[in-house]
Amino acid sequence: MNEFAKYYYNTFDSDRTRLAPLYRENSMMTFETNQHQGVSPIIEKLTSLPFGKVAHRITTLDAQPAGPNGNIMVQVTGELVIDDSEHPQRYSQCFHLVPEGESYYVLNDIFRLVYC
Amino acid sequence: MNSTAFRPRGGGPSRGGITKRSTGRVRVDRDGDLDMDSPAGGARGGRGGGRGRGAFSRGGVPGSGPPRGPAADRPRGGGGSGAMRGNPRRDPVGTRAPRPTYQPPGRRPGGPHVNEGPTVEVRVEGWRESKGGADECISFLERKTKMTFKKTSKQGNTIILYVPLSKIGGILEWDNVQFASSHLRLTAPNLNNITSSIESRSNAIISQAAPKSRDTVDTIKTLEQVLANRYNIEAKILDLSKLGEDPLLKQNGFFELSSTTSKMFPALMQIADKRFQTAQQKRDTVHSVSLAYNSLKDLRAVTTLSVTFPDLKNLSLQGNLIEGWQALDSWRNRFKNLEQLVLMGNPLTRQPDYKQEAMRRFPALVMLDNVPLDRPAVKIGDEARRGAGPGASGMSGAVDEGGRPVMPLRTKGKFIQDDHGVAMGFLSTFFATYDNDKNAVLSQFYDSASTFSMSVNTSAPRVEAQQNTRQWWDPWIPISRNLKRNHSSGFMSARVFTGPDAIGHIWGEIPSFRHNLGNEELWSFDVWPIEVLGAGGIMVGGIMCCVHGEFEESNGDKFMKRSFDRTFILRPDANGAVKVGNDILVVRSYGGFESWKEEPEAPVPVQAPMAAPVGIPMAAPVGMPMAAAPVGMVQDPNMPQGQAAVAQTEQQQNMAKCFEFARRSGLKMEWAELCLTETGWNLEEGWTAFVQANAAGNIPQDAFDPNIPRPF
Repeated sequence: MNEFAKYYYNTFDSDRTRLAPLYRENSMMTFETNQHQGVSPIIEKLTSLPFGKVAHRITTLDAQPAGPNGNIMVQVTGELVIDDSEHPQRYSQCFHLVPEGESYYVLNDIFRLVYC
Repeated sequence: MNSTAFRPRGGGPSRGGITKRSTGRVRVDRDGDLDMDSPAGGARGGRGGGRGRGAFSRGGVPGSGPPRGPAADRPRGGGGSGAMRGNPRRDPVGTRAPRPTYQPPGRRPGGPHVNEGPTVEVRVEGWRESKGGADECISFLERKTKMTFKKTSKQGNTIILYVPLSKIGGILEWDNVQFASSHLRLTAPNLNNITSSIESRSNAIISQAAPKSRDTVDTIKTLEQVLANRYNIEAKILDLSKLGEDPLLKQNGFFELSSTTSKMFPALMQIADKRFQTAQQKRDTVHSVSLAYNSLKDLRAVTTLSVTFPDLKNLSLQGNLIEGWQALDSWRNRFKNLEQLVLMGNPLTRQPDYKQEAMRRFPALVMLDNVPLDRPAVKIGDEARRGAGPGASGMSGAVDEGGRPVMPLRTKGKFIQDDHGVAMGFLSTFFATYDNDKNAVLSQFYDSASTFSMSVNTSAPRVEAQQNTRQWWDPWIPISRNLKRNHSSGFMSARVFTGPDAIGHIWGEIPSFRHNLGNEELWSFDVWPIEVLGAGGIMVGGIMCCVHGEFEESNGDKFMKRSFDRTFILRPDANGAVKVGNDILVVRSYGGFESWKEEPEAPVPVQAPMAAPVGIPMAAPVGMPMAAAPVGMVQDPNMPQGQAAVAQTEQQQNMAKCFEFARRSGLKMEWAELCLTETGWNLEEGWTAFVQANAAGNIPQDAFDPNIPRPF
């Protein structure tokens, strides 16, 4: 899961559009209470976020298998450094991952700023 | 105002937002992380989370750094944009604009530690020559003195301990103690100044109350007699009602001049302070105070009661002239243990939100005007009714009117998609029951497949009030499952707990904590239906709940406020009852709840919120009967939603006044606050009092902030 989170955030930080393969049409992202369902709306939302440069720094990561069908819940807390700001925002994000082939996709993604 | 305003009553307005800290001693956690709180060690400042300045510290040194980084070595009074640290969103960069910061209720300077006497600096030298470091030295002294130093600092070869005056003797007796092959020298150079200035101020207060040019000794005698007459030892009541009719006071002319009337009470409190010397003595001997029928319009004359008897259980203000809550503001966040309050016979009681406000202001209150209060057990469900708000917005690089950067991401309240109330019912029951009866929670909601794990985020930023406190993570570390640090399979499997027995066991191992269910503002819920694999291998409706909130951790006699994130996956069991599939907890340093406050003036939404989710193929949540969530959403229709926000604003206003007053007077923040408290938060009156007290030489030198130019 560490690899997943690293990959997710590296991709997010370098080119948000490339996160598309991680979502499906039934994926739901809740970003600061706003819901976006489906690949295009999610990517649209992510790319419309009002910053250019962004860097996620993971502080904690925990994960548990969710049920017998291989789903995984991932709980991350970390820092969000926006446009090289000296004052990172802190976030807490929960991913609900579903196995597909050799990898996982994000079925649910709940993002929340927890300190600003 | 009289010179009471310039008594540094006890850690009253404590230097630098000191708060209690928990026990424990580990400075390097088991993940190899540096403790952010090592008090003096420079190298250990590590990721110091922006400490080093107090809650009221002035900030905004031009070009000062971000609210992170090693701060342990920062000299007292040094740089750092401390004032803003509670809310970096508005952190000034290169501006000199100290602004009030949020402080959590009950942690305001002047709150809990008012009764320990002013803080004295104890200088520890000689440790450099030893084999031990600064941290070891402090731990060593804590062990020897059986004390916990709430604040320490290091200046060159000197460690400075900040110790309440009342405890100073217990420290200085260890002067010359042997430590790691060296001898420690413990001195308190300022002690004499402090004690003599207290004595002189105390006498000044009393003599000012003395009418008819009597001498202080006579006044003391009179007041002592008044106290003695009015103290009922069996009932532990100090009955100060109808003081205007007191024969002894009248006979001695205390009420002949309005100026002496207002000084009589502070003088009386001075005498009481001397009579009951320790906080414990006061707690043991005075449970109740009556100030009934004293024609009080506000607390100006009696503010000091909360300093002298901070732990009062019963208080009567019956039959006074108090019109609004504002008149009681100088007791805001005081009397945390007050159980009974009588306000009947004051115009205030006719206010529409009277009962709720009383409950809000005095968290331990169980009886108001002799009527028991029924506090709502849970009212965390209110937000469920609110829809999702407008979208995120804000411009990168933008600054607000004060030239401070605006954080690009705006924050939002809560998102709850919980048509059947199942999730909110679960959450209400869970958190209401968890604090009191973990077994009940386990048996109701956890089954053999439920899993729990937790991780500690030791580098999360903290609110101002906790900047200078050690965080004492050590009880949590042994089970912290931070897979970023360690994802070996052994580690991973050892730190996840499955089934009620294992989970119950580990809940017993970690420190106990209590959630505040009385204030919905402290909570954020994101609730979303998902599909999970249910009994019999079919997909059924489940719910994902991401909760953000806070709790108060208790570890022995220490308390520490924490923030947490807790995610639950709920699923129905074979009988359709709600069970926890996953329970993932993250515990962080206390960062407040600002981030999920609604931001009403959010500019044009970037994107409209989506309508209700329609596309997710999932079984209807028929398997989750409402009955499984017995509490449901408990709402208190009497509690207006905006109330806490209004109060917050008042507090912020007061803090703004504090900053302004400190800037004008050159006083340190704690003294500015004390002065304002005693003059009913009136800047002009406070200023007059300050000028008078300063002219009379009643303000000690150390009340002034060396970094602010003095007005005279």
